[in-house]
Amino acid sequence: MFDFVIAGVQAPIALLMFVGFTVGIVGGFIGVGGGYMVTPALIVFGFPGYMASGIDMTHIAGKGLVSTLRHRQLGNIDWTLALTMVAGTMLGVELGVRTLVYFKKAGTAGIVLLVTSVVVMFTLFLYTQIETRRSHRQMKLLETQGRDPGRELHTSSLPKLFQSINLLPIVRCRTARVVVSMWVIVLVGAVTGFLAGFLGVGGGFIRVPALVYLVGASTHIAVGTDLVEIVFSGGYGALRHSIEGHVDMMAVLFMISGALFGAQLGSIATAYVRGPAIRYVLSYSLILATLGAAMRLVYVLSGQKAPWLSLIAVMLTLGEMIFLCLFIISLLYFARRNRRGEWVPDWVKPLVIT
Amino acid sequence: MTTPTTDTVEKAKGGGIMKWVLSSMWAYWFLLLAVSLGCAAGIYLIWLKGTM
Amino acid sequence: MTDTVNLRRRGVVKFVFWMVVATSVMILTIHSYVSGQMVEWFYHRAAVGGYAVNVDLFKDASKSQPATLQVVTGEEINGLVAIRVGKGDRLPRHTNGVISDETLAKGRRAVVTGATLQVFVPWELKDAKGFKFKDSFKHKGVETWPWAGVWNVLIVALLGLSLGLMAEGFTDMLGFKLEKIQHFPQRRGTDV
Repeated sequence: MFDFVIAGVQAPIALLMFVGFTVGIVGGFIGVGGGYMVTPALIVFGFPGYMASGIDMTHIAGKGLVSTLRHRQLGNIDWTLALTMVAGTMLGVELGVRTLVYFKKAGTAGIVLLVTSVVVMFTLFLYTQIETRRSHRQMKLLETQGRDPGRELHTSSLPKLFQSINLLPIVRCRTARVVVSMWVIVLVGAVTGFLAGFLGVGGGFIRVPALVYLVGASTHIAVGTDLVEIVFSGGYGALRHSIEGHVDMMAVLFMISGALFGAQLGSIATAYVRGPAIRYVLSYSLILATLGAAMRLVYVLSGQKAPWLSLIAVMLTLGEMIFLCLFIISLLYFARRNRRGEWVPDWVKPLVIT
Repeated sequence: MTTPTTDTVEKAKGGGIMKWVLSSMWAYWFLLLAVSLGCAAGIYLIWLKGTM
Repeated sequence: MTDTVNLRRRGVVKFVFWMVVATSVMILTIHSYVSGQMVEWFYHRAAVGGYAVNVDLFKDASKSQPATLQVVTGEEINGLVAIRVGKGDRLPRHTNGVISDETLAKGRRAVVTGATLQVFVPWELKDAKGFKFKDSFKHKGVETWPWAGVWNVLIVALLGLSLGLMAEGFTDMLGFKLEKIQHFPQRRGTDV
């Protein structure tokens, strides 16, 4: 146990490093900061809600940088797309943090945060899961026909709609091979940044699907590009939260130490899989996080009278991080087996690169 | 052709069950979820029970 | 073969250099925290008018056994004392809480009579755990030094950069060369 003097709590160092490690794997793989998992976990460990948010945001900035460097090596970043989105993201984060402070002063931050996160995450889960299953089926079909499905396939028609908006200036994103209005990119950044600042997260779980389904980038490029945004939004959010007195740097340090290893594993794993594999993991993370948030909401609304609800919420909060790690590690394992010509389940073959 | 030994048959049976679980995406998903929730319960009992 | 050897050599240099940088940043941060410097930055100014206190010294305060603090003047909290501060004033050393005038006016948690201040509750809520957390009074009424925020961000950025480059050096050192991902099918030279 370590005495976090600034946060005013004692918490086990091993758990903080473990959370950093697991969220590092998940974050490096699906391009999220992991805040929607880490913030509730820190609350479970005893950190006050606003401290959990601030510590998480600060650690996301550091961890995001670690993952970004690896994704840069893999060629997963479209710098034009990333830098165009930054201004919108920063504005959105500032508005989001101010809104959070307003609700904090009104004493309703807890309930509002929970309800917002449940609604947003569930909607994203539904869309991502349905679309990814369609893509997975199409990839299976292509494989059975003896055709190479390629690294990416998605079936959404939304990118064509947004790319047809002709508001000048038009931006050419060379790595992503996307031509779209700058205002679409800025708007995506602003909306996702607002949610990020308000919920105290990096915003990746909103931005990655937005980049894939609205802008039309491939999943790998969405992951890498989003991590660049997370560095900026996380850094700005970290500054704002620090000024408000929400950050305990020792907690951040322990989490980044664990995240270093996790982020490497998660980022390198993207080289072994196709786009739908990443989107599957993203949709699972969303539904599990939704269930955890819904449990916490029910617990709070029930007047905190049923301790078994609290236990289930704790198990879901911690269990989802472990589940996602195990799923990513098993995808990596199956991918390597597939390359060696060994047996892998049929559902895995269209998801991994041979 | 040699008759498979009992060990090989047993190994094949065990391998068969595992392969059946792995072959279904949903079964595999539930297996991983069960393991994860079990680990989470363990973490709760070891570190967090007294503090909540 | 030569490429791999060169890669490994460059990897060793990169790994060692950035490991030294990352370790130095960590040691600096830990020292800054443990020596109390960061804590002072955190409890920098009073956000409200009231009395600056060290809340750790009256953890067992209760209605039946209130903690009695002497109201004094000075630059440092030593023992069970309280120092009068106005909104925006620098907090005395070893302060980690401010009992606001508003709280004193209500008279339920603390009252001031002449040169003594009586406190009836612990100012840090140690029972605030899990989803039943409550705000600790310890963090209310204080303002953090804004430049500490800049310091935090710089530390985190430097740490992220050095750890990331250290990891790159590590994989290079092992001879593990990462190729760029082919996101799209290769275009044929005859395409128009």
